[in-house]
Amino acid sequence: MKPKLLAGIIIIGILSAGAIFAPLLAKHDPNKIVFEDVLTGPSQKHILGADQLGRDLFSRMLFGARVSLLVGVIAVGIAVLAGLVLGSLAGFLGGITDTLIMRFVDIMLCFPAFFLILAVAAILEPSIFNIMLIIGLTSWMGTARLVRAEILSLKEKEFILAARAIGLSNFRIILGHLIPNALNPVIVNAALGVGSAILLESSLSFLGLGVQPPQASWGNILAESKAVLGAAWWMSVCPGLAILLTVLGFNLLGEGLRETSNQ
Amino acid sequence: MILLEVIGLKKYFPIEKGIFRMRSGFIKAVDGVSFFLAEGEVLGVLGESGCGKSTLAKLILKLMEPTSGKIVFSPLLANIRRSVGIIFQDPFLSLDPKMRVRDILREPFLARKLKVSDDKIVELLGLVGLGGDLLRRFPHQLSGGQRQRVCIARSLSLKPKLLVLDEPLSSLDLISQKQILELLLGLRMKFKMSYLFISHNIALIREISDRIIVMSAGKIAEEGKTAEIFNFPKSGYTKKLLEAAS
Repeated sequence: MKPKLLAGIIIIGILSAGAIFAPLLAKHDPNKIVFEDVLTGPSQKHILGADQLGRDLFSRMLFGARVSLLVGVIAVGIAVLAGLVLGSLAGFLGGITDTLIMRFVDIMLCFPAFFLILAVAAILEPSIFNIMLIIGLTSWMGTARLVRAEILSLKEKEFILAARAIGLSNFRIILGHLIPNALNPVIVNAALGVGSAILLESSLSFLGLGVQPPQASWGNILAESKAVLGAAWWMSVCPGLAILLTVLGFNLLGEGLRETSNQ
Repeated sequence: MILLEVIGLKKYFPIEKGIFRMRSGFIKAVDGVSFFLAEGEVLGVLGESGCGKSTLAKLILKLMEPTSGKIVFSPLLANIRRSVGIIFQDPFLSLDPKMRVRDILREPFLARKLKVSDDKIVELLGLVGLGGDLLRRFPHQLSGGQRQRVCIARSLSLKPKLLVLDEPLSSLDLISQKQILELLLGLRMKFKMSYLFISHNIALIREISDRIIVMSAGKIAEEGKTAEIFNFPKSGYTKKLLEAAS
């Protein structure tokens, strides 16, 4: 196995395990306020210290990982689904359908994505579900282009002609032959996409338009740490490092998958 | 009885140049071809690479729209997706690399919403001389000859009246070529199929065809019974072709 792929799987594996088993691993309730522990540094009681309300940072980080990974994976899932459907329709049908879909992609790409997301997030009620939807629906364009290009080259291949010659319907050709053969680059792209979706969620939460306190997310822990930057370094370093590691993990996974699928 | 008649068939591909996609001309892949194919015969189509043979095959299968001209099918070929099969040159490219043999051979039935058992598929494999042990293999786990046999089995599953064979032997080694040829000839007898056999191999065409069409640059250079063409070639192109082969 490629070292990058292995490193990516290990990092993501550890983080996912932390997220899944958060209730077992956390020694404290992530939302329990304890006045005597306010802003205490890392110690035996609080491995990563406590925040300005005396909540255990390690527990909050674990529950925050759930939010980040869930948003990342589901947002990318939505993006991949939208990209697959629109990309394969554009590539397979061609003509006016292709032109319409691809010009729509161009229009979507013209918006400065982050400000579009900010605007939509400000209008809609901030909730994890809305954030997944917003991120997913503003990041499917790359996948659509990728799928369309793959399908354009695949549909001239002889096995597609053979499938048409035996009378297979367009629906079956797209679903049974074209998409399975176009999937490799899409999976690579999706792994890389999870990293940027997690970054987006953190940025939104940092700006207060993402996951709402008291529910923990890495982004809003970072936002809260702003006020006590000088007094409590652990509050900014921990979520910062966690975001960095996660994005690194997914990028390594994506790169590793790319190297493997190119062989 | 005439199975199909091709009348003045043309297929032009536009050549587009520059950023404005101006049409600077056409590639005339098939340029006014007319011929017929009778029931039960093997019609050989002979010609060098790039003379439009494969385009002709795709036009007959309706995998492409002709620029002009038409193909008249007899009532025997009313449903062409069912009654006309095609075998391509490279069996590796004509099998989906992500599908197992079993799923490849199920497809023609699924396309017609028919139920199909594994026994039926093993029977199909038996027809082309393959064993049921290949059911779970992927195309890349088969030899070239085996792959071409799977392609033939896929076409046979619909019991076609006409098989269009587009250079079916060219990508195989000599021993497989001989075996596949024998298989094709045997299957023709068994299922009473007609063949449109496209090849650049003169000796092969001579061996199996009842009649021959010689194609050159999208046009028919000569048409006739096999013996006539080989003994008394009329067109200059046919003479040149035969000379080059001898």
